[in-house]
Amino acid sequence: MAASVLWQPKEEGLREICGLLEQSISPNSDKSLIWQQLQHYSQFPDFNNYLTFIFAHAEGTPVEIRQAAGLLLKNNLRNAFKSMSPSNQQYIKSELLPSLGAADRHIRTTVGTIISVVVQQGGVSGWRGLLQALLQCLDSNDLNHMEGAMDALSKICEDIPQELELDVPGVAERPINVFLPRLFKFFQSPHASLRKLSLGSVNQFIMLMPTALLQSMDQYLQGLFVLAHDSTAEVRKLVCAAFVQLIEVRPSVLEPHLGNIIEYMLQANKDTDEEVALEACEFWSAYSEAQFRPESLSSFLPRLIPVLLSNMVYAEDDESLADAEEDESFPDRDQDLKPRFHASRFHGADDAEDDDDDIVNIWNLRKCSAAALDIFSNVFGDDILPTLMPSVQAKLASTDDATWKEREAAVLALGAIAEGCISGLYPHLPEIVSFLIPLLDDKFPLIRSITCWTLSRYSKFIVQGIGHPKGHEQFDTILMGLLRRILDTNKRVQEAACSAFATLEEEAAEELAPRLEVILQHLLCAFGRYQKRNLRIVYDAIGTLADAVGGELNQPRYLDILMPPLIAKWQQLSNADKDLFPLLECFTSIAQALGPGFSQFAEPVFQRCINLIQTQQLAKVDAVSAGVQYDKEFIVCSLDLLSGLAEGLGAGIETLVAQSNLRDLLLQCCMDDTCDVRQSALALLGDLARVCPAHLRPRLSEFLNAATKQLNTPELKETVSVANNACWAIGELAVKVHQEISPVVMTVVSCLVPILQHTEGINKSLIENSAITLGRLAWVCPELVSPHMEHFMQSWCIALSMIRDDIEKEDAFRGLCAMVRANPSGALSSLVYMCKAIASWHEIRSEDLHNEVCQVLLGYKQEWSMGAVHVCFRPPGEGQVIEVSGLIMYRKEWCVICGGERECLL
Amino acid sequence: MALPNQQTVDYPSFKLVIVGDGGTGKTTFVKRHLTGEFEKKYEPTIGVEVHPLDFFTNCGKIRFYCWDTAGQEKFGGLRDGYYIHGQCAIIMFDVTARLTYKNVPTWHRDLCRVCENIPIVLCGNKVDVKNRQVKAKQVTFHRKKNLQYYEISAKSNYNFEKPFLYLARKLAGDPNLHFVESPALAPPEVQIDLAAQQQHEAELAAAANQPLPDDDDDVFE
Repeated sequence: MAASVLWQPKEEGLREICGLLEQSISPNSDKSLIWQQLQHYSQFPDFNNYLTFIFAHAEGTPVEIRQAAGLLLKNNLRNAFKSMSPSNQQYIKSELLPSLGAADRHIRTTVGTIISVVVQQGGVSGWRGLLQALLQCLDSNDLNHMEGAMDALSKICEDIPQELELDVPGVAERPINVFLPRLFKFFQSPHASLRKLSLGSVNQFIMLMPTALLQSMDQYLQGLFVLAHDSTAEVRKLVCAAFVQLIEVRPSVLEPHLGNIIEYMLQANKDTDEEVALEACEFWSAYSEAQFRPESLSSFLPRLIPVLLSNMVYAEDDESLADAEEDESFPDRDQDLKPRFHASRFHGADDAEDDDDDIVNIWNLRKCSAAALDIFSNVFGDDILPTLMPSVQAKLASTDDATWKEREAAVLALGAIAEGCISGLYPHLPEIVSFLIPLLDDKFPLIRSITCWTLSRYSKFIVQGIGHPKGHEQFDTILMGLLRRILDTNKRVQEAACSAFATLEEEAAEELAPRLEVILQHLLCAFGRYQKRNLRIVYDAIGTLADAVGGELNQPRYLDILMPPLIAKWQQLSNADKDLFPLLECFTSIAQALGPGFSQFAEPVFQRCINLIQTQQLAKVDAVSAGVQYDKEFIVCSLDLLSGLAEGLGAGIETLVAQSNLRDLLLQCCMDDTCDVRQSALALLGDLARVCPAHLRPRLSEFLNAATKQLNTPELKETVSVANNACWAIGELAVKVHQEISPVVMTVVSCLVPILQHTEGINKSLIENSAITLGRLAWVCPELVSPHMEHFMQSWCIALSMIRDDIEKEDAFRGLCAMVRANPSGALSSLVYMCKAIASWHEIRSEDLHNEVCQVLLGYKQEWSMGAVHVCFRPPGEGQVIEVSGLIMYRKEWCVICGGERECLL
Repeated sequence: MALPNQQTVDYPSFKLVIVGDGGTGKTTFVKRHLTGEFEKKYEPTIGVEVHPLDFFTNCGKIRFYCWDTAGQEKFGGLRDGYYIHGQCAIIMFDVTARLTYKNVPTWHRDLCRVCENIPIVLCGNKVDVKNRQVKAKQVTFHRKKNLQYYEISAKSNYNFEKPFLYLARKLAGDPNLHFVESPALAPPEVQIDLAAQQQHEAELAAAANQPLPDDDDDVFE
């Protein structure tokens, strides 16, 4: 210890290190040279002592150099404190403490940062004297000392609050018990900095909620109320943050004071400081999650809702205001185009990827207030309307330029409550719409765009009323209004109108058919005018339209509008142009919608896909001779379009396939090293198996091996979409090629069984496809599969009972029947599960399957000499009402076999 | 705010600190701007590199001295020592690497402890990569701390100007400030040679492990 007291820096060392630090923070020095020198110095055992000395004592040195020394010291201590010699540790600690009261603020805040790191390394108990020093400073009444100590304490509270709750050997009280009363005392300090630091420190304990804080909760809350009207905005913001956190973490402590707190939050929402208002606004969503009775809040709504409404008005500095002025004639730049992705084809109900909307990431008072209003509309429903609607209507009725932002906010409010308040609003929908329609033509682009959005929020209800002549007229007015805005000259309005129209399309579906001509005219006109960014949205709108109206699109007068511009674009884009992707996707939707009607366009489309795949496969190995850069998206999009063609054209695709080398290309894609390519390739394999299996036959075993490999992998969970499509494709092949599948049957079954047995965390679609494919394999090769029935019957039947009626499920049950015939005893131990699976049918439409199932049940009945046997379906609209009697379930009126009409023949 | 030795220009200039985990694309991002004078080859940042980036606004030219700090621990140098006198900041994370988002609070804390009350932008980089690990909806840190958030792609230039524009507006106190001409940007999709990058890192690591000349040893005894 004596040595540490004696440690003294050498002048030369100080000078060199200060010089190095000065260069380090200067913008014009050779940073890699300095870095090397720093590395060099840091190898000396007393380097950190030098830094400490410079930081604490180099009075004549510029403060930024001392600060840099302190921060470098802190970083070194973080990595090496524990391995330092005790004498150096002691030297550093003892030199730091006096800096708590340093005259320069930067030194004081830096020492706080360093102290917190040392405590992180050695704990409070590892620094004898620290607590005492902090207390002395806090109690000193000298502002610098108080501020320095408060700063250090607040950083400890932020970084390691739990440290203050531990017992310190040799100290009677836990640190928190000593500090908490002092922190509360500083709530009333005349110095804003101390009020801010002390409140911030206590807030750090809300998550942890130590006993000491819980016991002094009243004092804390009293302190918060005292600070609630503090003259410093940052303090008020911390008060709001405290209430928001408390209501999230410990709502019960606020309950006795709820009225006061709500009243305060209501006022704070009006704070002139926007950050305070925003923090306060977070309270409402937290409140609604705290499970208080909504009534506690309802009496405040008449005053709260107008505040929210006025906070929804665009702030001066909202970026949307500046962005709103973009005219359609400005070309989009690369930096305006968000990278887009094609989702590879997936057979089954995919978990829908949420689209990454930039909008969700903008957070400000306007957004937060609108979100709160949305929440209130869901909690209170129509009860908020008497308060809200008069002011919304008044604002909507204003027409002058000066109030356009209020008008805009009123439209936003109408959109926000569309779902929560619909029952109250529904009778007034015609009025609302008649208010909104003129705003579609408002002078201000942001009013036009928000009106599109708000109308789209009501589209479900507008479509519901379409049966009525009035309702139909309303629908038509909105449809035409949105179409008009699609041709707006402002890019933001174009975007909003296209998105709103896409929502309407999805709701209206075939109701759009009578208006197809005018819709297509508008969309294709936009297609000719839009810049890159919005062009993508038009493609989506066209694709959505095709999905929505399906075969209705297949009429010459529509195709004459739709196809020529798309084909012209298609021809104009080179094989290396990424703008092809949305076009290929759009064609996929159109091909599926038109069905055989697409055949007139099919050949060049098919050929282009083949060329794209071929070129890219070449580019992958030799970009120079392919003449393009490899990009797998071209292959994926082309494969998916081919799938769309197979689905649309059915067997009509056969001649195209026959004339091409698709088989070889596809096989290569099934073995590609990227998942996306394999996923789409296997989907196409399944689609081709359905419509033209003969063309796959020459390389069948290779296809089967490639598909089987996707199931037989330890990384199944990472490539689940690939496995899903592979599984489905194998099943589709099996039912077409029958016995030829037998070489892979057992391998596939041994992959499927574990999937069915360990369903937790596995994609639902993969489970369904596994159950169906297992059934299909059993159907075509019962002699191979049935000997192993006992191992999988139970889990397989559970999976089967989750699948809704369709053709694929019929196949699976044919497999079930075939296996039972081959190996009746194999199902004995799982008979209840088998019956439940049978009972999961609502109706077995196929007569032969119906008979087969009867035969199976009859067999067991005879074997076990049971009485009348009924196997029931799940009745419509009711839950599980199946009674189990012995092994077989019955409830006559829902019997799968006799329909409850009669005594069952079984 | 000029530091000693800082070359001065006759138009407003600001120190902008760029922080975030290693490999999140900080250097690639600043190097998209082609007016600065710097090499195009990839180097993991050692300590810090300072790039002067000029932008043209309706109120005249402004300059950001971008302090592109090392994200990698081993090349950190002064770390937060470089933040001293920072007037605005960008915190970068990589939407394809969850850990880089998890570390954002630490970068933010260290930044705020040196530079109080400066405008800060949070940037989620690499949105050009298909399988992101941090979805837009999962990004909530900026809400709690009143930061601006942008999704960007240093590779495709997507939203390149947005962070600079936001900071310029805040620093000028003028929400209507706008850029009147786009800076020259490197064309999108320029791929950095990964092999070259790895080799370079290996060389640097080797250099770091070399014993240094010991001519200064007598300074410390």
